[in-house]
Amino acid sequence: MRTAFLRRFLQIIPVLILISIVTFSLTRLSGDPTTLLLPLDATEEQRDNLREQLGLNEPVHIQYLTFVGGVLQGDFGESFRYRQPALEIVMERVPATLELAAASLALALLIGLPAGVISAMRHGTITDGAVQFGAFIGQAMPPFYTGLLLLVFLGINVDWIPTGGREPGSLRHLLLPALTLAPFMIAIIARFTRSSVLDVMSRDYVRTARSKGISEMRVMTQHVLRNALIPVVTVIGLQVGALLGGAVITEVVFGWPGIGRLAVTSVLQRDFPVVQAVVMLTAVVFVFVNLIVDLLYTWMDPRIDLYEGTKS
Amino acid sequence: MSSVLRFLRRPTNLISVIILTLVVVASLWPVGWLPHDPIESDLIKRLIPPAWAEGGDPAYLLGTDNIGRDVFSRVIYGSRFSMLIATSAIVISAVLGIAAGVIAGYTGGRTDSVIMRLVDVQLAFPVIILLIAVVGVVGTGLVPLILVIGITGWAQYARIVRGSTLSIANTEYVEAARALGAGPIRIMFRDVLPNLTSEIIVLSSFGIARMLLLESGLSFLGLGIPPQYPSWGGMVGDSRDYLRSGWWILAFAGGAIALTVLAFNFLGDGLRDSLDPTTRARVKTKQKASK
Repeated sequence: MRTAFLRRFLQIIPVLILISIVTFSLTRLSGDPTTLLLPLDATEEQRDNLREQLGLNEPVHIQYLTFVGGVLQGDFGESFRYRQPALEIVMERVPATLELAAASLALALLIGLPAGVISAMRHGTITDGAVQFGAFIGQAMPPFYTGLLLLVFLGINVDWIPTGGREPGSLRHLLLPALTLAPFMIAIIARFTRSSVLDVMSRDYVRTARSKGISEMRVMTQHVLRNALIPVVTVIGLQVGALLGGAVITEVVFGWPGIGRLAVTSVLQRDFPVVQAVVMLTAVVFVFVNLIVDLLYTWMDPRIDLYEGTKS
Repeated sequence: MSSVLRFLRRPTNLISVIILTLVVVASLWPVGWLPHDPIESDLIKRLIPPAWAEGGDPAYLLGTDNIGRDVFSRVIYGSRFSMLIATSAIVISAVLGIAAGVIAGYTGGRTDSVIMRLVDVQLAFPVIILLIAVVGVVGTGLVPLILVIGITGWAQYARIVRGSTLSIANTEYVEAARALGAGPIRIMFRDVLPNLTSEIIVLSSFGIARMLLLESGLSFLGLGIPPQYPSWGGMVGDSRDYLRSGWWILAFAGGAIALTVLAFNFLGDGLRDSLDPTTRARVKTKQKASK
């Protein structure tokens, strides 16, 4: 068990290295930063000095190692625009994105799980069809469309619902952004829960439990749900990327001061150290969330061996 | 023919085929045949509501936008850019992903684990954040956009194709081909790939839907299709300042995206069920059982 954990942990190291290479290459693709950092009338000598100062005259692999060394110490360079460490600027926006993501995930679990379970229990009925249809709609709605429709119908017409911005701890401000980001997750969780429950319901041990004359209620809670909900955990882990992606658009629609909106404005202002910090941070968060999910999964279902796959 | 009819008997399949036919016709419709010029502005005609609404003008079926362009013509004209980008991007994703998946699954060993690590990395990046960063760096433009969103889509193909390749590689007919002296490349092309066809079709249908959402999201942010072309996402982005005075711009441009994505997802789902022999057998036995 412990070696499996260790091995899973070691697996993420090459992933992190690759992520750092991609992120590093991104800024190198962006061209000569001295054109952005210095005024247009700067002399060639000033540019040379700055290049020297930023280490741009070093060979590429040295530059990469310097970059990684900095990143390991939390140094992503200074924001071109705010003249502050990039990581600091990003970290300031993290709570807002976390709040939004957590609220949407909570909504998605609250609606998606029961919807999926009911859909599976009423397999083949109108209820099932309605849930599945709803899930398709949820997956087809782009977040900017959902968000703006909510603004048109609720934000503009209902006095107490704010149309944008964030106040820490204010649920009113959180309402529309969370409703915008949640449908996609609701759809995914509902669909996955449905198929997982259906799968478990067809197993022999469930048939045995039924034939023993246990009430349907107990069969569902004791036998079906306990086993069916475990795989749902992994799906939630895999959707963290989608959640963060949806958060970018949602944050822009509602002027929500999170890292997604920061990424968009930084790209438009060509503030690359900040962009780099956002990309790196989200990727690392994603990798670790998946690690945690994997470990959680093994903990909940001891039959699964992380390295060898499912034991029969 | 009967299989096509059977496919269309399912309501969601029928809906998706109808919607997608309309979208394809719209994207091939000549600009000259549109009721109005989709690019030229006419400030006198700005923000006219749809024809059936109060103050509507029958000449402008879905109303006009903030600088007097016909929303209907723009939605029709915009379809070609969304479709062109989504379909070209998915071709790039498919070629890269299938190649990577077949090689990983067939070769196994080190190659396999390196490719699968790359898949992990690709899936690790929240795509839209990566795209925002890349587009911000390389700049907007039709071709860069197609390349960039196309390249990011390979991992989904690679993962699934690898899995099926693994199971195909262990079948008797591949064993037989190998025994007859066929080399790995020949086996990959002649024995493995043809057996992946239906899976690839299904993946691509879902993939186009994903590409449409990505492209429209980027265009909405002003980082996608260059603003001189009308794109659905861009139109929704422009509509933000006119939610009160021109809700129809949002409603129809956004609706076009949602319906098209919905149709591709329905299609993918329907195709998966009718192309996968195991589900077809299941449906048949279920029908027999209910009789």
